[in-house]
Amino acid sequence: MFALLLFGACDDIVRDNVLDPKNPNSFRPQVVTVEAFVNTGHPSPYSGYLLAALDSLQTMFGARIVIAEHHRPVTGNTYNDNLVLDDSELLYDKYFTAVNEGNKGIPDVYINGIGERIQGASSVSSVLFRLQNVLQPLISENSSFTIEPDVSRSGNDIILKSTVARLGSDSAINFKLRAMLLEDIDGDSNKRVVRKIIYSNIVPQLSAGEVTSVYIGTVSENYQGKLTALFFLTSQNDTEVYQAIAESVQ
Amino acid sequence: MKYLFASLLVVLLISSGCDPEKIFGEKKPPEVGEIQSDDADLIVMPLDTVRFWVQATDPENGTLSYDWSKSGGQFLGSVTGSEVTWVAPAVGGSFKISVKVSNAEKDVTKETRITVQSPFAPFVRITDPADGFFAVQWENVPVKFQASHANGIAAVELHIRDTLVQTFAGHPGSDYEITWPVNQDAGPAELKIVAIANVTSAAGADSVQVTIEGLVPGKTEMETIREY
Repeated sequence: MFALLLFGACDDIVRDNVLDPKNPNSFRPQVVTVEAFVNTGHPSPYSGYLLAALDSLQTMFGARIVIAEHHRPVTGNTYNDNLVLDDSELLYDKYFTAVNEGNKGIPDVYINGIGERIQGASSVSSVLFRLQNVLQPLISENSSFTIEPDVSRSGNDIILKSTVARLGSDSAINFKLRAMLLEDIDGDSNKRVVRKIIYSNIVPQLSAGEVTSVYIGTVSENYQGKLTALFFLTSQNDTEVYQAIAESVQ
Repeated sequence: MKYLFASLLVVLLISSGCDPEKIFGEKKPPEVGEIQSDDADLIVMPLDTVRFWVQATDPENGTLSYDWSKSGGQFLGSVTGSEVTWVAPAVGGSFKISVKVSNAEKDVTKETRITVQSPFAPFVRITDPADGFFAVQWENVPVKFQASHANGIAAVELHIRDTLVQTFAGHPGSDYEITWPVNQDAGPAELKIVAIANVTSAAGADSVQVTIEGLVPGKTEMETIREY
C-alpha cells in the first residue's frame, strides 16, 4: 500500500485550475474599462445623456466593467466645470493623439484605453445602444493578467499598491499600473469623478506565472465624497489597458 | 518618235512613284455638308420619328452612293439615299447617326448625335453610410452612392432633414463619393441623395436614416498652451 502511494500518487499535482497563475492555460475574465470624458458645466445635454447611459451600463454589466468620469474643458472656457482635472486632460491628449481621428470634444468615451471610442450623444438611448454594441463582445474576452488592489490609509494618506500576476504561458514586458481615485460628488450624475491619477514605475518584465507587488503611489489630499480606487494595468504609453479592477476606499 | 513617247511615259511613271493619280490628276472625294434633321435641337422622345439628310455633290461628276448607319433605334425604308427616316429607340440615351457618301473612288463620312430623353427618374442607391449610422457632429462623413441615368447626371444633391446641404456636379460613371460636413443639430436625421438627370431634369433619390450625435468641441491644444 505504501509502495503504491509512493510510486503512484506522489507526482506533482496537475495544475489545471485556470485561476492558478502557474497553470500555463490560466486566465481571468477581462474587466472592461470605460473612461468617459465629459463637461457638466456646459449647458448642452450631451454629457448628461452619456452619464445616464453609463448608469445603465453599470447595472447591466456589473463588475465586468469599471467606469470613470473625467471632466475636461471645452472650447472658449465660457462654461466652467470645476471638476476639470489637468491629469485627465493629459490622458485625453494621449488617447486622442494615439487614435489620431475625429475632433476633440465632449462627450468622448474610450474603452480599454484606445481599444474602442464612442464620441457624441444625442439621447440616452442612442449612446447606450452604441456603448452596448461595443461592450457586448468585449466582456466575454479574457486577460492574461490579474490584479489585486491594495488600498490602505495612514492618517490623510491613501496608499495605493497592487499585486499583479502574469497568467498564461508568456512573459509580459514594460507595463505599468495606473490608479485613479474617483469621488462620488453628488450621488447623482457626478458619482464617478476622477480626482487624482497616479502611475507606477514601469515594470520591465513579469514572467508567466510570476506574481509581484507594485507600489503605485500615495495620495495626500482630502476628499469629502465617497472614494473608489480604480486600478488599470496598462501599456508603457498608457494607451492600452489590459486589466482593471475597482476597490472602495474606506 | 514611238520610242521617244514610250521613254517619256517610263520617266513619268518612275518619277510619280507609279501613282496614276499623279499622272492623270487626283480624284476628288464627294463634297458633303453636315447632316441635317427636321428636329433642330436634336432632342427627341423615345420612338419619335426624325428625318436626316445630307447635301452632297460629286466633283468627278459621277454617281454618289449613300450608306447610313446608327448606334441605336431603327431606320425606316432605304438607307442608301441622301435622306433617311429614323425611329428613336424606346430607351433614352445619346445615339450616333452617320452617313458614308462615296463616289467612284473616294468616300466621306459625316456624323451627328441625337439625344433621346429617358422618361425615367435617375437611379440612386446609397451604399455608405448604412441605415442606423451614427454620425458625430463636426466630423466629415464620406457618403458613397451610385447614381445613373440614360441621359447622364447633371448634378447630385445632399439633403439632411429635407434641407439642401450641398450640390455636386454629375460626372460620367455611376460611382460617387462626397463628403457630408456634420454641422446639423443632434438627433435622428434623414440623409437623402437626390440625382438630377441631364436633359429632362428628372430627379431620383435614395435616403437612409442616421443619428447625429451631439458633440461640444473640446479645448484645443492651442487653447491649452495659451492658458499656460
